[in-house]
Amino acid sequence: MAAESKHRTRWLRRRAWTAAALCCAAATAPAEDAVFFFNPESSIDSYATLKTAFDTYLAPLGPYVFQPFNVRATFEQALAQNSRGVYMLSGWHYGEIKGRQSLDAVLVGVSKGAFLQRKILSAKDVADVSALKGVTVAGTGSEDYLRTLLKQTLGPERHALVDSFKVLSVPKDIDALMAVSFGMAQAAISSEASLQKLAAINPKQHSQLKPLAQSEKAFLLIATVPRSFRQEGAPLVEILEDMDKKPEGVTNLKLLGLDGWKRVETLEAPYSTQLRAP
Amino acid sequence: MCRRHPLTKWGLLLGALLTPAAVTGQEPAGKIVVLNTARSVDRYRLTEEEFRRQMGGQTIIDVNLEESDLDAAGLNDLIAREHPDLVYSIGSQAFHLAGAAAGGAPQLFSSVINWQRFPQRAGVYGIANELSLSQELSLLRYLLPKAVRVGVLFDPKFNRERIAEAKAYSKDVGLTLVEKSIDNPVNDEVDDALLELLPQIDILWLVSDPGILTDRDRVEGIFQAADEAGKPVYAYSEVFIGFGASLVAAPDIPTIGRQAATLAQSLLRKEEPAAAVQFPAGSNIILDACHLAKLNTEYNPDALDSVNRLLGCH
Repeated sequence: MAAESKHRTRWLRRRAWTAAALCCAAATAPAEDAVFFFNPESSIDSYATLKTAFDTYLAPLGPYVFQPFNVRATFEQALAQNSRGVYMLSGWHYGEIKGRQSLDAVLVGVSKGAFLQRKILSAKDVADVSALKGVTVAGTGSEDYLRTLLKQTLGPERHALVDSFKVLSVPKDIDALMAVSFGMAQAAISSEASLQKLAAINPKQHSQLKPLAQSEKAFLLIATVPRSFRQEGAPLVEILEDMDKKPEGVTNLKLLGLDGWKRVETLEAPYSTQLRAP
Repeated sequence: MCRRHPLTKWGLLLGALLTPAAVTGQEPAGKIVVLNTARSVDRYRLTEEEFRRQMGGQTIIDVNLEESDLDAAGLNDLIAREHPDLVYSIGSQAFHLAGAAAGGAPQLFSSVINWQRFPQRAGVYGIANELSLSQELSLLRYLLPKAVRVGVLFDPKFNRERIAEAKAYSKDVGLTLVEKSIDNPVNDEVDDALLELLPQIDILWLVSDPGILTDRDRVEGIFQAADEAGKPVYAYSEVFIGFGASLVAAPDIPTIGRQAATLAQSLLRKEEPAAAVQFPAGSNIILDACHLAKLNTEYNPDALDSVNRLLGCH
């Protein structure tokens, strides 16, 4: 009963926000506010599916559209030029730009109860990291992103080793891991969760992969809003937050590799502090 | 640096400037002849674009065969004049031409349908045109974990060894392969095999097999039989979505270009690759959630972030 009441209160609050936002938008702003998305680890051609799925989901809920980007610079340009919208980006990316942009992190993505992930460098038939000189390392994301990630993961003393790698960018983590299993690469950098997925698909292949290094833990996807849009953007943030309550919303979250969102202010202090913009 | 072969016509590859984005500064300088069967074909063009992006800084001499009268003698002249470190052929026609030329430079190929039908020679390396059957089975297990009895028709003339390998591998991923070998795959034989196979399986797996998939009518017949039996079809090319495939795992085309570049970098460094021909490392997955729901076949929702195209009922 309490949950029902809470749900109704939130629904009324959202209606009020939406009405207010529509009223203001009519006078001063473009007709549609957008959810902007950029994640260097996403497969570029899955963006059409993401756009269709999110536009379909958002359309009945208000004047909203989903706008995915496959080039980081274009996403950041949109961020610099457009203060109306919710910007979804990786924890790694947010950490890099939060000092430059007036952005507030409002939601963090959650998968299997966790909002942090780490990357694991794993290889087959290799004793330790030093044996990787000159090998092909597979992973998701652009080559620049992967080299930066590998350098962060292996530390400054291994930068020359990372420079010796041939980096092979593949569309998904599971491709990177299978590339090692099937001999197209000698090592892979992937999320811990993807390694667990491989263990479920093929325990034998998983057991042959040896973890050699791991990155620091980083946040999964983060939803942020420009500070000047925080109040007006509240209804859209709430729509995203409630996606896990509808089957279509859950499907869309799964396309992003998430089960739901968590409010930044509900995180324990060290994490919410980490996400706070300076 | 980018140069055009003088025999090519119609102002080839306008604006084909190299993008040096991916170079680390450590790649050895080399000269590469790229023979593209037809740049007007998306998969060939995308492959070459990714290859060039990755190989920025190398000298590329490109020939688009659909706009060129280059023959084997002409290619031999080109090789004798330019002394390339590598000849990269994209597509079957280009690979055939490169094979007919007698140049001594190492050869690299990709996007060649059934590359095994060409004579195997030393110094020839490549990226296969299809995922390995083991990769396909792994992806099936990942996306449709409850479809464990997998049926496959094959012509032993083309696929005896591959299916034997797949059968051995299927156990590793908890699948049961129910295979039907058809020595004489005329229509009646295929129809009879399907009638026997379909009741025993959860999903029908189409593998690349010129003995079985002979023409459009045959393909339509197979899909119709599967549909009447209420069984989903898993296929290796997005072409089959139009016929009613519920799941497709095909190679990702840009990744093939990047893999070719990685292989080319090894060859320019005079490193001997572990395998002369690699399978594609990237996958392009299409899942028809609407069709699967109609057939009461569940997909793994946690695998949706690996799906490139999700087809719904809208």
